[in-house]
Amino acid sequence: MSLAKYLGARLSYAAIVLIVVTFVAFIMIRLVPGDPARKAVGPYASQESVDALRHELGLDQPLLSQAFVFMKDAARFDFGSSITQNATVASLVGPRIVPSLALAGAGLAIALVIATSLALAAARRRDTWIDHAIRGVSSVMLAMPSFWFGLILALVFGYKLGLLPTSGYGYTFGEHVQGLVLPAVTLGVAVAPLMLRTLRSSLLDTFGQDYIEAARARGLSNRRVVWRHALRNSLAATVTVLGVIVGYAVSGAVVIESVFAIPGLGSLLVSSVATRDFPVIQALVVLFGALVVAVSILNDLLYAALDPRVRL
Amino acid sequence: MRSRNGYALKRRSGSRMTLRAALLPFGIAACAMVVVATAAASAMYSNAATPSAAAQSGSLTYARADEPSKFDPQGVPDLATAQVLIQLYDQLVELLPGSDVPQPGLAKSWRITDGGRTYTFTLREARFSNGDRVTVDDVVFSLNRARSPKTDPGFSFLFDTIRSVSVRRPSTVAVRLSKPTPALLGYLSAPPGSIIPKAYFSQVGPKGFDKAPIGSGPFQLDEFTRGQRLVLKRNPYYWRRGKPVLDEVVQLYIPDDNARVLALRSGRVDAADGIPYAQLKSIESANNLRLLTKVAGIIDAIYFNQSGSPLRETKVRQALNHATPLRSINRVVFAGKAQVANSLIPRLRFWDPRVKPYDYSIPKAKKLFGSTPGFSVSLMIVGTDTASRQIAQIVQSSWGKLGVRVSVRAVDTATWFAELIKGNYQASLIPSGAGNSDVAEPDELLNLFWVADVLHMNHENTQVPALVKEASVTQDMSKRGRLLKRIQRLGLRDPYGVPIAFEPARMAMRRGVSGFDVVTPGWWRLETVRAGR
Repeated sequence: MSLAKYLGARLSYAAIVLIVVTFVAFIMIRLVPGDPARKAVGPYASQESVDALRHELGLDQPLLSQAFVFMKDAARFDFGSSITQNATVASLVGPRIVPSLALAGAGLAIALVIATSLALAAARRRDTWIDHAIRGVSSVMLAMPSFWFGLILALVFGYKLGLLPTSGYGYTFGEHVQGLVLPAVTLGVAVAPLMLRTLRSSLLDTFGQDYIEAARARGLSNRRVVWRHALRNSLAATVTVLGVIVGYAVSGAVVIESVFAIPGLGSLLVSSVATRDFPVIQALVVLFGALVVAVSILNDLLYAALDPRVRL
Repeated sequence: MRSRNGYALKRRSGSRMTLRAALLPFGIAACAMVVVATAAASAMYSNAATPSAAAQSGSLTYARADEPSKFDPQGVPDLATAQVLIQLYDQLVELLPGSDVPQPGLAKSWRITDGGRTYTFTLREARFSNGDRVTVDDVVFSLNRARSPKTDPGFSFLFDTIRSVSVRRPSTVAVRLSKPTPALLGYLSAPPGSIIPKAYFSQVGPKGFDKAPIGSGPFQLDEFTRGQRLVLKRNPYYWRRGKPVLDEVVQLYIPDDNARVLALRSGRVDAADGIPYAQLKSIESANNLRLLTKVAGIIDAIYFNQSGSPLRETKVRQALNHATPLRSINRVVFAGKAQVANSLIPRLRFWDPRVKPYDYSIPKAKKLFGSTPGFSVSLMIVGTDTASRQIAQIVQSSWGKLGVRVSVRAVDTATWFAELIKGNYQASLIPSGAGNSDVAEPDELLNLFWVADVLHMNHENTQVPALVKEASVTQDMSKRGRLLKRIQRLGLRDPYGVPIAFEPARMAMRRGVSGFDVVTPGWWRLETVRAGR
């Protein structure tokens, strides 16, 4: 199948998935207790005031017709206005995309560095104390709550050593970078163990392959064997769990954003769910859904790129 | 691809090889860039260069757990929003720290006539932050906005006895009431009673006003970056001479409790609000920090929905009150900084300190409980609130001694609120900090809970509601005071719940910062704050 045809099929499938996910989230958030109109006017307002606001927001229409109106507008990228804040959803979500992407990107990059180096060290010295130590460290990293580790980092590097800000995103590029260091390290440490295990086991499998032995027999240096042959093939296995890893990173980022006061999509999701701000929640669900779908397609493309035996 | 010694790896198509070859080095280069960039940035920008704490001496940086939702004072202000509104706007009368009696604000004097049915306010000379004079038209406009459910759905009920607001003379406004409302001045001192400029508001409309609000308060809004910070600048036209002391207040939004305290300790901010109880002791002992705790009009309590349950019996509710270890809860949950509650509503005007709170006595409780069979009760709490979880545990074990089996129902804030408003609960604990009064007058909460029963507590007491209605229209202050104290006493004897503690407002600051003080409804006035550098 050619690349164009493949992408075409995947994208139309993705569109269906997005529609279903959005519809389900739309219905679910309205079934959970909590009325944004009542939240907006407060506990002491009369029921008439609440009903008037519900009518104004279109919340008194039947669920399916509300869903239809939303889908129609969403298709034109019109996500409406926030209920609790005087702003369009686009203006609330827009500025938060870059901080979130920067955090997730930096976090994943750090996770990759940690996972690759530790997995290589463990696989090459299989069953030595280094291997066991690395596997132990990996378990600790996996079990450690990210908000706790983040606070420890902030305490040590922010408060005790004064090298970095304890929280916040700042206003200049330099401050953004400074503010993202600790949260990115926290996220990287949280995600690395997932990559580390699969990478280590796939490295071990690869090391046992005939072509590695053949390469060694031909006199290729160890470094060349490891980097040019073993690692490339092992990464393929890791890439298959990329979707899981990104999902983990995105959900971990929600907590980390709150701890470090990074104005990203995760903290917006938390606050809009707390106030039942339906338009914002819906827009974020669409955005996250699109991200997961995009990552899934990228996942397959990367895997095909890395392993020539795989046909799209 | 061929290696140097002729070993060939078969590839089926050349294009895939190129993609893969390009991907890995790029990935490694990207990582390297990130690492180098962050290291360079950290080296370049040391902590001391961060603007905020080290800025000019007329500026203060202050970290809060919340940020305002809007700037329209008649648009349902929650406590977080009220905190900012009170700096931007003035009211006819204002609450100043140290007293619950409203003081002259934009009204320099007033007369109450006609048995308490007519208030005549004389305005002082004052200007909005855009230089325009504050006129009687602005006052009439603002008060009419405040009392209309369309423009002020959340708090117009406070002003429902106002029949008309009219101009008497160029600087006098008359407010006529349908019946005496002794709490009116207190209501007018709350954020919904803020005076906004009519001409400017009509010109820009509600949305435009919210984006660029104009008031006559000590500060004006300079910048609002949602999710990050809010900057207030001095209002050069503010009518109180010499105030505000600060040129600028930068309010940072740091929702995580621990991160906020860390920001204070590390010197990034000069002051932080909402200090978690667990950290109070360590801040007190830190020698570069000062802790300010002051009991405000905030109560922590359990409410009951009495319909169709053993909780209908007064003796059962009294027994549960005797079975709640208030002093232990104060010590364990509130680090001993709260005050054991002796009233069903917070400490407001006319609070009587001599009313005795329930003492913790299981024998007394058992005696009151008598032959009532043990029953189950579901206690709804906000699961994310530490204080609620701790109190729920304590209550569960204490009430268990009476044979009352408590099952804790932990939900998120929005669900808790929705269920409470609908009456879908048996017992519910208010989360820490949420049980505040919007005004210093007890009338608001007494009417809402005893008369209107907005939380569906379904209590059957008729004596207290009648007294509340009477106190609400009694203009004679000493008679009113006696009635309110009687309501406190009687209410506690036939309680609609279990009052636990009067919570303190908690602010910590760098030594040298002074002038912070809180008023009863729970907000901090910033015009007297000094950065002290």
